[in-house]
Amino acid sequence: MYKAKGWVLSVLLLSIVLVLSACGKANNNTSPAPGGSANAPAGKKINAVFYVNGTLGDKGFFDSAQRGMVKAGKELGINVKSVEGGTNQADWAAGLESLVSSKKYDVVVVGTSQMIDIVKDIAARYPDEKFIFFDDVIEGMPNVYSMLYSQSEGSFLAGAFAALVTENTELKAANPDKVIGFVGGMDIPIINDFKAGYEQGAHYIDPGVKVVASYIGDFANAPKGKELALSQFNTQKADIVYQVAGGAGLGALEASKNVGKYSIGVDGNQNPLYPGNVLTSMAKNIDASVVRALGLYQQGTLAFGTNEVLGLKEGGIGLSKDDLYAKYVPKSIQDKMTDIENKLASGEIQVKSILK
Amino acid sequence: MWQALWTQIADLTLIVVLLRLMTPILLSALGGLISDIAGVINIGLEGLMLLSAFTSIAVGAATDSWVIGTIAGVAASVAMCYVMGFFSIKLKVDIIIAGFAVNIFGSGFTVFLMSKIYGLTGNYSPENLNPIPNVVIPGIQDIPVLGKLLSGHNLMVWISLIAVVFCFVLLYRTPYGVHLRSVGEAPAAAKSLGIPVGRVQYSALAWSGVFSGLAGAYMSMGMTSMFVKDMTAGTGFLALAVVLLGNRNPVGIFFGSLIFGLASAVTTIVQTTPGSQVPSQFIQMIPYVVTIVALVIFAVRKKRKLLTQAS
Repeated sequence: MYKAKGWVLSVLLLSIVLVLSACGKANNNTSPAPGGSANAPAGKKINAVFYVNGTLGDKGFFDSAQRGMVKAGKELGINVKSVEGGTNQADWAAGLESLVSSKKYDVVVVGTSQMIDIVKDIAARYPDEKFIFFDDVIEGMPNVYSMLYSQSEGSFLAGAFAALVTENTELKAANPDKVIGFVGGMDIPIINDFKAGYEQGAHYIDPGVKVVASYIGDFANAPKGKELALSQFNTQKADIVYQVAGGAGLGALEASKNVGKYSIGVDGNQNPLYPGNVLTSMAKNIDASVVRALGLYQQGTLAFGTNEVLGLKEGGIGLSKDDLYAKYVPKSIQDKMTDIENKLASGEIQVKSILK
Repeated sequence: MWQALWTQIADLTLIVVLLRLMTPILLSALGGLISDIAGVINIGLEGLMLLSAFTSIAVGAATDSWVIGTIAGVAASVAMCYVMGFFSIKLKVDIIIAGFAVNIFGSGFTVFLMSKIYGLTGNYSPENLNPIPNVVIPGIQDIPVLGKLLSGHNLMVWISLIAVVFCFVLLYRTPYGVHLRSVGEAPAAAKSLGIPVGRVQYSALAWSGVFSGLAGAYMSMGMTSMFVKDMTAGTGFLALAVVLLGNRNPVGIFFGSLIFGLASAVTTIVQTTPGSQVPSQFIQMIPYVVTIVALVIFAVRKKRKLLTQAS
């Protein structure tokens, strides 16, 4: 019996030591923050923290925001840190609050619609802390700045791109039929906002282009996404499909590879998934928007209490133009896209969003 | 819309799409059938398919062989079935609860493994995967109608059709089949005749693991070449409905899956018709409405038959 007790005690002690040392490590690389609550603590180094409500490594949203944090740390000379909250939703509120109540950080970067209520609650109780919120709207809180990405503007570019591809004669898989495809996850307003932008973009190039739209019904059924895209390619004679369906949409991208046609990715840069078939992607540039917001915060001009919709001009969205884009997309289309992007940024082209 | 439908029936695209969509439902329904007949209805088909879909693509990509991948997927699924059997047959846990546990486990564990092995959270698509091949029959391939009808289908489509015959023979033409059915009908009577009830039920669960394993491997390595979190999207539950729709017999299940596959194929065609005025939610309902209608027709006919027999 005594032996057993001794074991339990030593294990307990060991775990306490481990936990303590882990805590110590985490705290080492963050210098104590100034207690001031001014928008921009002039002359002092800003401490920013990114609270991930999930884990890094999703090759999407969170990784993109993380890149933004690292970049902001380098370019703006601020102290940055990221804390992963894990996938258990019940931990998020406590995790975020412990970051905030430690008063080590001047500004907290956090995002996604799942965090709205938690951030609203904590922001109200800690009015001295500043929050930068991405990918959804929080308005009317004096210490929260939120930013939204204009999917209609990004989809306008995707639509214009698709219309240029279907009319192109250099691309060998482009057929004479002026049909382009759209595969959405569900028939819901936010997806239809993508679709509305896509149609406007296609009709800007040529009002005669037909858009075939299909919905999968969820965001996971990849085989169905593939089946719908195959049907659009084979029977509707579409030559390019734009997918807005999360994981299920990857099936649509694969379909373009199987039949040797083209597709457009979404959310992040999906060009490398099937090089030569996924010609470009409509990416939400969360990294760029985080750097921008932190930069404005540093200058003291970030408009807390408001929400901003970031379009092309603010660098919130854009088509992914990597080496694969340069390699597989004909020069004529590239030039035309640059031209359209300039017009969109200058306000010469206005895209209507169905959400407003 | 009707014209689009007609042209696709005429050029046999519908049949090709139908066979592709029918295969996973048919395979997992056959698995559900064997377990149901032996009285240990396996409602964990969905979870088993997910497990197999992930295991097969992970092993298949690592070994560069779809054969090893498929075998690994089936093995994982069968192993899970034995665990299920251990809990329900040995420890007397309710089989429905064990099935639910498998579904939840399959969904969670595959995502967990994906994040631990590949560091990914949503989906896994290996670059150089050697997928389950399509069977191209040399001579027939070039004959106009017959070519499209018989050639170019995925190997798993043929396996699923052979599986129907296999199940029929297994259930109705072998002593083992008689044991299975008797164990399901009256376990106590079977036991009194010296049939090892527990062992037969274990084996029935293992069979359901084999078939849902094949279905899972087909989803990740045949229909697509990727694993997406929760990619089965309810196929396992449809398969359970098909087991009942098919009157618990392999041929009936074949026709049940056919009806369901046909409805899904029609859905796909209608959905991709440009300028369709029907709201997409209604179109997505087609397979389920068709199932209910088929069930009603079936029930009415069965009742009439009973009435005529009685009078």
